[in-house]
Amino acid sequence: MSNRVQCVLCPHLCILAPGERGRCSVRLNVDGELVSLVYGRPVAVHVDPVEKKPLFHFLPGIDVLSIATAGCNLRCEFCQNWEISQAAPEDVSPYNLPPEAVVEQAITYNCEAIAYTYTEPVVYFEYTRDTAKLAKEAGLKNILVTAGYINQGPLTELAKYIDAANVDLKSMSDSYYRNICGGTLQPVLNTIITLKELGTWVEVTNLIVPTLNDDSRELDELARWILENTGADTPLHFSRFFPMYRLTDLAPTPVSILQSARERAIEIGLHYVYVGNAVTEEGMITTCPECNEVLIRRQGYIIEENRIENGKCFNCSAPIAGVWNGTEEQ
Amino acid sequence: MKILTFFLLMFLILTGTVPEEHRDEQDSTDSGLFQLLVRMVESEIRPWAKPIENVDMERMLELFESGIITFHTADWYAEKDDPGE
Repeated sequence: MSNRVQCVLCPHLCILAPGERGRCSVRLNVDGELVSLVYGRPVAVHVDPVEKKPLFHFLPGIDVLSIATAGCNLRCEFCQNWEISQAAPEDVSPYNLPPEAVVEQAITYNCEAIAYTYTEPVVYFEYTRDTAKLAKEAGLKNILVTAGYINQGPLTELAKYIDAANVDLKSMSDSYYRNICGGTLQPVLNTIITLKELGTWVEVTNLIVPTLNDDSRELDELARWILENTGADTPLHFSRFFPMYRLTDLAPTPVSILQSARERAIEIGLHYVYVGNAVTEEGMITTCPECNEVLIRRQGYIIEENRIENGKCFNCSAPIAGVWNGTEEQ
Repeated sequence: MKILTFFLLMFLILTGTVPEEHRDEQDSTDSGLFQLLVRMVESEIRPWAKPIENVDMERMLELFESGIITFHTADWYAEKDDPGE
């Protein structure tokens, strides 16, 4: 027996001999058994507003206990958290925080949800799942902030405990995924569709990187794909790039490109399109798709005004898609 | 890279014939080279992705004992037969 194993968690399908670890750097073959190196060992534990994930249509204003371990199965050259996502577990100093302790911390800090975020929760799958299961039993919500590079079996298992997800759709180009991110496009599209079908509240983020994925036709294609596959009510966040990791030679995304992408996505038919990582008034407000009244006004991550009443527009009573204080309108 | 592997494979196949009396001592080397080629071909399936890494198991055991890392049994994997078997 060679004791080789194949990890089938993500589309990389790494085949590992004893002593080898996968492309995520956190799953190791020990004598023919695959082990997680980061179970209960987060390197980041913070309380964030839910708007920071970003989720704009999921219980606005709540605090979320946000955790991350080292590791990621992609290698995006623009990664904003590369110090931990691209680190091996032995290169960082983790906390010892088993699932039950995460739930306790969330309750202690009055958080209504736990977010698995910052790096890639897919690679710490078992920790995410076990924590989410305990959190659900304790009446907390679970939020997945992910690049969506996961196979359908584990995704379906995990989705049972996940209430909301923000999926990072980095581009509609497979070559962009391969060359810039070290992954492929189709599994990510599958993840978005599957989460939606399984009843998870889904929002999508696209980081616009100057010269690499800022072509207006590609951005329009992305908006059109969301419209056709998950519907007009799926919120889309266009996010501003800042020079980071291996792309320090590029300038930040011009705000005009973000605004233009937003306007075109709305023309294409999406109801809720936002601009992130940039100060724009219209990119941070939620308006009613029926009567165009302003419903939620945000200043950074702070809710200045929320005029959604029982999941409906205060003015015309049109249902507003999202999860609002326990009332879900999808 | 795939072309390089192809030529390496062809080279080994073409030069792999050895006199009968040396066959036994050559087997382990052939097997090692074959394994190396298998590994190379497998890693080339995704040349654009992060590489699979060999770790220093002694160091990993030290890290495990100090609590920095865990050896928590993972889900979603399968045993993989050796292609040489």
